[in-house]
Formats: sequence, structure tokens, C-alpha cells
Amino acid sequence: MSNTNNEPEVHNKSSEWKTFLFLTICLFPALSIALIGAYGFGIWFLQMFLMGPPGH
Amino acid sequence: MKKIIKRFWQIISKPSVHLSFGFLTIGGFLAGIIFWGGFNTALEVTNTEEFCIGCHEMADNVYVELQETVHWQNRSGVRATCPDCHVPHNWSDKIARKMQASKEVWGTIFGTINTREKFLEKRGELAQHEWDRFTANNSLECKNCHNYESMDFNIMSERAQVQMKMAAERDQSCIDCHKGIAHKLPDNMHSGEGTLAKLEEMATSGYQAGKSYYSVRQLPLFTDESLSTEAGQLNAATKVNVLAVEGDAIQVELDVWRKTKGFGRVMFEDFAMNINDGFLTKEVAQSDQYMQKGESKIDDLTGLPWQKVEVTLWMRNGSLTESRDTLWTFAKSTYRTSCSVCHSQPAENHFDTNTWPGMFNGMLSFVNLDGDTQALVLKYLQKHSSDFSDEAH
Amino acid sequence: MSISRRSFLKGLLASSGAVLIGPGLLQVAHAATIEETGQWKVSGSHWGAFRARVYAGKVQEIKAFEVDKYPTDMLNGIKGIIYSPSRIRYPMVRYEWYLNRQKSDTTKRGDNRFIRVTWDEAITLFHDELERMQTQYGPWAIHAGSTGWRSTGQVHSCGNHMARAIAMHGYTVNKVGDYSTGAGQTIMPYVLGSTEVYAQGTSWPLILKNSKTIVLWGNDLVKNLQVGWNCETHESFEYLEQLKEKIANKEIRVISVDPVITKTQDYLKSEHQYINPQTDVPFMLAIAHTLYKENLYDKKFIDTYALGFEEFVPYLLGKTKDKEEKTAEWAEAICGIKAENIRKFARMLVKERTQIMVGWSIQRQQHGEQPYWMAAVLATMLGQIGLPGGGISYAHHYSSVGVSSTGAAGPGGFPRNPDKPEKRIHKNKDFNGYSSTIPVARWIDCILEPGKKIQANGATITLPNIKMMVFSGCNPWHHHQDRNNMKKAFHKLETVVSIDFTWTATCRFSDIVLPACTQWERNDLDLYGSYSARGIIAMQKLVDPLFQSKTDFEIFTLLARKLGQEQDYTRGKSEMQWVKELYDGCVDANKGKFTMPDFKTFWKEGFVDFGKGKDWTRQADFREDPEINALGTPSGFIEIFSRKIDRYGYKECQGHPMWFEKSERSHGGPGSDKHPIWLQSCHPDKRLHSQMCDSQQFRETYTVQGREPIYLNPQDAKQRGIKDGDLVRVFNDRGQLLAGAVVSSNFAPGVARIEEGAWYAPIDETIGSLDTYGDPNTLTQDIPTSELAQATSANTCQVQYEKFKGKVPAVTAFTGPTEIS
Repeated sequence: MSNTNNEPEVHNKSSEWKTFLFLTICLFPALSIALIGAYGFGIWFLQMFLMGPPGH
Repeated sequence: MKKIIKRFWQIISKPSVHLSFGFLTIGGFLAGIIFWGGFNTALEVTNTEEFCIGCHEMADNVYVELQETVHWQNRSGVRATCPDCHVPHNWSDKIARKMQASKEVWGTIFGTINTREKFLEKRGELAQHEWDRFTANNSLECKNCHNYESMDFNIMSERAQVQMKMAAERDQSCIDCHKGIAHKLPDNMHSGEGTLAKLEEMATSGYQAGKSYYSVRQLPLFTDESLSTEAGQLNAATKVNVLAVEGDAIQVELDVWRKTKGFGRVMFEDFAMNINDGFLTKEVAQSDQYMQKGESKIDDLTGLPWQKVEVTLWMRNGSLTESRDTLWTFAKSTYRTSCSVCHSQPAENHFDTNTWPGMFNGMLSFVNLDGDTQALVLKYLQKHSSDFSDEAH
Repeated sequence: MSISRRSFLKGLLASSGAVLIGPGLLQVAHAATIEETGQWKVSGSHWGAFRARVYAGKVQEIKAFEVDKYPTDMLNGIKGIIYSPSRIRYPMVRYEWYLNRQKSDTTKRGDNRFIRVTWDEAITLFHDELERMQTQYGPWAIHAGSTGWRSTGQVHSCGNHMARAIAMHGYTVNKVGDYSTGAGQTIMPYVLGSTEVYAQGTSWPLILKNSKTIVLWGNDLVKNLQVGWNCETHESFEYLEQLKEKIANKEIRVISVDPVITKTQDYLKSEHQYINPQTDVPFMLAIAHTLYKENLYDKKFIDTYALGFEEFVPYLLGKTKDKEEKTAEWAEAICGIKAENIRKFARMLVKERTQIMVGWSIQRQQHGEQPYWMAAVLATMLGQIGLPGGGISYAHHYSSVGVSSTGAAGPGGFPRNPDKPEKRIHKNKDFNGYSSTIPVARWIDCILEPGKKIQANGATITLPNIKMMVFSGCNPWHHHQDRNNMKKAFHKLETVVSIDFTWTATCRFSDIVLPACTQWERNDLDLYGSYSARGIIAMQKLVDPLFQSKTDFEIFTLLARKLGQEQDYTRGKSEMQWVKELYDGCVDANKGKFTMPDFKTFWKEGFVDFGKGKDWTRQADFREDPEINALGTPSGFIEIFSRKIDRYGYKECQGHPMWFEKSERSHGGPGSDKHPIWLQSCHPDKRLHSQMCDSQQFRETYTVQGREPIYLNPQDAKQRGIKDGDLVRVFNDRGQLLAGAVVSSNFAPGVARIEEGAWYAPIDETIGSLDTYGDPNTLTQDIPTSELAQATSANTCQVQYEKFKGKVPAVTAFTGPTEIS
């Protein structure tokens, strides 16, 4: 832990690019899908326990 | 873990040094568009029939069954694919359904229904899930294509007209009647229930004291309000006058005639007409407690004495309808279809009321009718016999 | 990434999914096992279920279906039907009619000169004639209510197809009743509350167990149980075999009351009670008289279950108009049975459990209602109705009646009625004062005497002025009586259309003839076991329709297309889809009772068997509780006296059974001086009515010099110098025919038999011309049984015969039309 605190952050252009690409291509999409998935599961569980099958 | 989150926070909370604001927003925006496009494409791929029948459980069971139905092939060339009926079109419900599919993945991995036998055993449960869903959304997926408003009742068969008009009035859920339309029904489901259900559908509810109704099928009669002591049986399409409604029970009065040879157990609709309205147990028929006796006459054609009686008994609150018209339409169409398998069926008014039972009995050998339907059809024939028809024949 | 994971799991299979989808339905039809010498396929018929080996597009061999343990030798005739020289090859139109249409010289009808036309032209002619009838006359001018049997198969049921298509065009004259049981089915509802003739009977095992005496009254079980209304599988024969054993062991007595020694009697080695033809009623009355006088009848049963006995007894005692007591001595003079034997017979009936089994022949005669009614009265006096092995039945010789029913539902049929009657093209329902429905056997009277009023079953019928007849799979030139009278009637018809696969005499006397294919040239399905509902059999097409023939379904679809209603006719379904629809309907109807395989499996296997049903006793429920389970009679009880019939005021069918002298009768009866021989025209032993007569090789196994056999009494034959194998000319004032003599002591003096269904083969179309093959209906009379049933009286027929001398004419029946080009 102390390591990270004390080490000076490397802020060169290439690492910033990598971070950007990582975030936009991998992390956020993954998170979005996880979120949608969670939402889906949520609705499903609600349907199972509270609302019953989807009406309209 | 905490470390990773912290690091992540550090990264995303710091302003960028080298990358411009415009680049980041436009880049992020573009990435977002690409992601959403990709996501939807993937979602659509899972919404194709090809995908659905990817596993053999679907391909070998329900898919093959679908191919034998009108939803697969018909004269108009429109067909329904799996997701048309089984995936909700509303986004949230659709996503929920997609997540539910995890259960199916589970099933595939562990082979829950990987043989026909296992599938058949589980079919009832699986079908029930779908029926529940269709019931809850009032058969929304059916109605995406089939619309009561767009139905031309005039080009339907008479029998269909009656049923569909009634269903349309109530905006009835399609699945109520059309279970098994695209795949086979679970093995334990009787179609005998089908006829009974059809008759029951003709019943109305909310009976009022002082009004008259007709039974949609044969129904038990009781002596008491608690419906514990049996008093006999009411025949199909029989008129009852409701005297009182007490929860599950209704008190009814029957204006009938009976022959006084024997115990007088059989009730008839009118004097000297063998139109069966049901029968009473020996005890009830012999007791004055449940009936008021009216005039007595001798039927000249048989020499038998007849007596008018008003019978007051109890029955279950249900299975009655306000008019016999729908019952007659059903009976007429059943008669025309079932009784023309061997030969042309005689016109209703070809025989008189008391000849029909003898003729009808002789026709039953090759006819697939259950007891309720037989009784209804016979009564229909009698009530439309030459005694009731003015048409020259 | 659940998508890709799932895709991965399924992806590989997805592409192969399409391959996994089974082959089309039609291909399954060919999936029967292929052997070196061809394919074995399953099919059925009225004669039995069978497997057929098809090789090089031809049916090579037929063998009985495994379920059928007692196949009939008529299976040997099946191939001959398909490849018969009588097959109709092309649509044909009568030459004279083709030139002049409705103005044609109708006296030439029957000259057999025809011209070949295309299907298109034939259907157009057919349609135009229907159209002309409806516009020029009205619905009363067309009679398309043909009757009779048909080929088996529920999808292609020919009558249903004709009725449906023609009803889409307009209304036509309809009929009630049939030629087999017209009198029986009309009288019995008044007496026992059901037509009886088509009702399931007490199961054989109960009869074998309980009966001590079985009376076969004019009833030839072994001969008639060979054929069935649906696909026959001959379960009854197992019981007949057991019965034979019981007779040998003296456990059961079987007595055949009959003028001839029947095939059944020969087989069972049972007893014979000879009786003069047509005199069953006097014998029965004398039995009743004996039972009454000797106080042997069951009074309690009569009191509880019957009405009108007291109104009948005075007749028995000679206290009514005829002043004739119906004693055994009185009967002896008529029926030829010694008075003492009549009394013995009566006493025997009441001694132990007695089952009476009545055949149909005794109601196919003048006053045919009477023996049926009187037999029911006898059974009522015996008091055993509703007991196992007792009582009376009128159908144990028919279509596996008596084999307990499984209770399974059959496959239904192609719909006879149009789905949308409101789309009928001619909505005119005005029958111009004529009746719209006629008793079936009176159609020739309609043509000859239109407008005449007749009494029938309580109604007054005005005979319609029929101008056009349409027949489909129906051969009235076999089943109707009096050919020369028919010729006269046909002179008055404008147009006759016939649809058949084989050139029957009806085709010869038609104007437009359309070639249908046989039942083995199409796909279909059928119930097997008839009344036992033993199973469902696939009828896999053996070969494609021969020549230019088409299935009934196709033919009437063509007519419906002309009406612009093809879609409504077929419901958009093909032949195979209909087969499947009927099968699926059957599966549905049997849910919860019988599990049935899916259609593909069924079609491949060829059948579904439902096993055996539960034993059942006829009228047992009525005996147990006559109030709730009342009979279908007006009173709900057995009616010995029918007030209803009495009120009709008919002369030849009054309030209770009676003896009426016949218009012709042998053994000293009316007309026997001039024509002393009674001609019996019973159901054939080697055919189903006229079906299979065209099967050449098989026919040659029983013909004599190429003619239909006439069975003769040895004394009668000797007197006339006739030997077995001679050609005989049989004649009366109505007609003449050639037949081949079979001399047999099974036939009493004064009795002869020609089995009905022998094809009519006149030398030419003129009235009175000699029938060269031997159709007995050349000689029978076309009179009604009575005002009640107006049914056929074929068995009231006196003839004379002589050895045929002169030049022997060729048989004209089996070679199809003479084509004019």
C-alpha cells in the first residue's frame, strides 16, 4: 500500500492512451453489461417473488 | 481488491494531461455508440430462431412439434419464430428474460432435459411457466399479430364465431383456450376437459334471485344449502328459476313434468314430451317436501299419466347461462360434424321430439361424444324437431 | 459475456440444427422397409387389413395383417380390383348426350357408347349441368343423396366429398334410410327405442358363458361377418370357433330358423329349423300363442318393462277383425312347420337362457317391419331382455358387433357439410311443393310419378320431380330393385353423373362418368375392427392412381374450384395434411384413455392397436332401472302396441305386429302357380354387395360358365332337366337373366338363391333384354315394405327357371364402355 502512495505517478502520453483504451473498450462495456445483467436479474427476481410474471 | 478500486478511482478522478477534452468526450461517445450497437446486435442474435434451436433440447422437441402446426406453415406464408412468442417485446422484460436464460444454460450443462423422456416429464412444468406468463400479459405475444378488432367473424365457422365473439367481448387471453396450439400438450392433459371447458365457458356468473337460467351441462342437485345430500341430477340445457343465492349455493326451482308410472324420478320439460330435464333420487321423488304437485293428465299417445311438479332444490353456484342460444349453436355444429361421419345427418325437423331419442341412440356407435355433449345434442335435436319447427320439410 | 458463452455452447449445434429436422411427411410414406423385391406397405379394406408388397410400381402380393387371425379369402380379390379390365380409364361422356345434351335420346341410355373427354371438359359439363338445374328448375330437380357403401378411408369417403361440394353449389333432394335395413331401422325406434340394426350387441364372451340356446333367425353370421363397415379384422370369428366347440360339447344349442342351410350352420354343425320363405310372422305368432295359452310367458317382465300387451292379446286369440286365432295349427299351414314342433319350439325358448339373433333378410321383404316387431314381442314375453346371453339382437352378423368395444374414439371423417353454408351459390330452398327428403328406396318412383303423395313414417311425402342424378361410389344399378322399371325411369332423366373407379352398370346408364382411383391409390386412414374400435390403421398409398383417375378429394376440389371455393373446400390442406388432421383429432379425442404415438410414428408403423374392450350386455341398464335408463320409445318402455303407429292409420303397418299375406309368396302363396320358386337375394359370400365383382380372377373362382351362380334345390333342378354347371334362364314378368346352376341340397324345394351384387349385364339398352351375368335385381319387385318405412322388398320375389337353350351370349358387364372416337 505504501508503495503506491509513495511512488510518483507516471503520467506519460502512452500510459494515458492505454488507460483510455482500457476504460472505453474493456472496463466500461464490461461494467455496462454487468449492470444490465444485474438489472435483468433484478427484474427476474422481482417477478419471481413480488410482481409475478410480466403483465402490461 | 480495495487496492484495485482505489487505483481505479485515482485514475478516473484525475484530469487527463495529454489527451484533450474533445478527444475524450468524442472518443467516449463513439465508443458508447459502438458498444450499444454491438450490444444490441448480440442481443438480436440471441433473439433468432437459429440461436434458440442451437441446443438439441429445443431443436428435437419443441421445434419439431412447431413444424406440424399452422404457426410453422400456412396458406398465407406468415410464420412465427420462437422469440415472437416466447420473448417479451418490452425492453426490461426482455432483459429479464435473457437473464432467466442462465437457467437454461445451467440446464444444458447438467443435462436436465437432455433426453426426450426427461423432457416429456418436465413438459408440464415448463409449459406452466409459459402459460402463467401468457395469462399475466393477457397473451400479449399472440395479440402482437392476432387482434380481436381485426377479426372478421363473418368468415369464421359458426362455432368459432360464437366462441370468438364471446372471447372478444371480454378481451379474453388467447392461451385460455388455445393451449397446445404450437407445441404438444403435456401428456396428462385430457381433451375430455376440452369439451367440458367449452361448455363451462358458455356459463355466465352473478346469478340473481328471481331470474331464470339454463344449465350448460349435467349438474348435481342437492336437498340442502350445504350441498351435502344429493337429490339428483340436472340435465344439460335445462331451465332453472333461481330463488336464492347463498354463497356457493343457489336455490333453484324447476317447473317440470313427470310420468307417474314407477317412482316419478325423471323430469321432463313439457307434458308428453320426452325432453329430459334430469332425474331425482328415489327419496326426493317420493317425498312431498321438495315439490309442489300441479295438474295431472294422461298422454294419449302412450296412455301414461303425467303430472306437473315444481321442484325446489339446491345446486352449486355456477355452470348456468342466461340463454340457450349459445348452447344450441354449439350443439348444432357438433351434430353437423360428428353425425355426418358415416352418412348424411337427418335434418333436425325430420323427426318429432319423441322419435329423436330412438334415432339418436342408434347413431351413437361411431360418434365420439362425451355424456354431457350427447345430452346437449339430443336436447337440441328434440327442441328443433318437427314439433317445434314451422318449416315445411 | 453470457452471449458469447452461450453462443459457444450452442454455436456448433446451431448449424447442424437444420440437418436434424426430420424429413417431410410425404417421405415417411415411403419409409416402409425396403426388401429386395420391393416395399411392404400397410392398408385396409372392408374385407380386411393387409400388407402389400409393391415392386416396380405394381402391387405384387397381398398378405393378411397380423392382427387379423381369421382373414377372409376375399383378400385374394384385392389385386384384381386394382388391375381390373373394368377400371374407368378416362373421363367419359355418353356419345348421344355429348351431341345433344339434355335433349338427347334417353332411350339410348345404356347403349354403352361413350366418348372420351378431358378432365377439364368433364368438370365443366358436370358444373354446367348443376348450374342449369338450379337456374332452370330448382333444388328439387337434383338428387345427389346417394346411398350405399363406399371404399374405406375416412379422408376420401366418397359420399362426404360429393355432398360437401354439391352443397356448396346449392340445395338438392336428400334421402333417409338405406337399402340394407330400411324397415328395421324405422320400426325399431317405436318398439325398442333404438334403430337396433346398427347398435352394439351383448359381447360374445357373455353369450358363450350364459346362453343355453341361440336362435339364429334368418341370420348367416359366418358369411356376413367377413366384411365390415370399416376395416374389418374378424375378431368375431374367434368366438364363433368357441361356439362351435360348445355345440360339439352340447353346452349350447344353436338353431337356425331359415329356409336354407346357411354357411354358419355348415360351419357350426348346428341345428336347423326349416321355415317357408317369408312366413316368419305366422311362426312367431304361433309361438306367442303357445306361450300365452300354456302360461309360459314372463308376466312380471311385461308389467314392469312393456306397454300394450293387453291390446295385442286379442289379435293373438282371434278376437279382432280377422277372427283368426293364431294357433300352431293355423301357422303350420303357412310356415310349413308342424304344429307340434311349433309348440315344442316355444317351450324350448322359455326353458333356459335364450339369445335370439335376428338377421336383416327378413325385413328386406314386403311388410318387413312385422317380423322385427314380432320378434321383439317374443323376446319380451320370454322376459330375458337385458340379461347376459338372453334377449334379442338385430346386428350380431354385422361389422364385429358383439366384439366388446374398446371405447376408443375413431378418426372422424372429411367434413360432409360445407364450412360456410352462407356462401352457397344457389340459396334457393324452394322445393316447389315437393318434399326435400325422400325415403331412399323411392327415388325411382319420384322420377316415374313426380308429385305423387305417399305416406312415410308419419309424414306425407310429395315425390319430387327429379331430372338429374349424381352418384359417387354408389351403384344403384345393383342395389335398387327391378332393372326394367329403372330403365323406364332413366328415360325421363335429363342428366346422370357418376363418379367411380370401375365401370359399373350405373356408369353404363350415366351421361358423364368421372374416373376415381381405388382406395389403394391414395393415402388415408381408417378405424379397424368396426364396432369393436380395435385400432387405427394407416392406408398407405400402394401405387399412384392408374390411367387418368383421381382421388375423390381431387375430383371434388376441381368442382369446388369451378365454384370459386377451392380454398373453402380443402381448408387449404393437402391429402396428407387431412390424414394427419384426422389422426391428430383422434389422438385428442383419446387423450386420457389411450396413448397414441405421434403421426409420423403411426404412419411408419402403420397402425395403433387399442387392445380389447370390456364385456357389455345390451339393455342391461334398462333392465336395472327402466325409469332413469328409459328406452327411446315414446313411452320409454318396450311398446308391444304403438299408439303412435296406430294413429297413422296405415293399412300395412298397424298398432301391433300382424301377419299380412305377401304380394308374391312360394309354397302355395300368391303367384306361386305361375312362378313357383322363391328367389332369395341375400348378401354375397364372395363380395361386398357389388364390390369385387369386377375382380376377374377371383370372380372366376365361383362363377359357372362365367355367370353368377344360382343355387338350386336338387329336386327342382331335376324336374327341369338341369344339372350342376348348366346355364339357366331365370325369369318372371319383370325380367330375365342367365345364371350358372349350382345344385345343392342346402336349398329346400321351391327355394333358389342368387346373391345380390352380381353385376347387371344386359345384352342391350332395351326394356326386357336378357341379363347375361345374373343380377337378381333384374327380377325383384320395386315395392315398399309398407307406408311406414317405404323400404326395399327385395326378398318378396317369385321366379321360374329353365335350362338355357340357344346361342350363349357373351357377358357384357366387365369390359367397360364402347369408346366412340
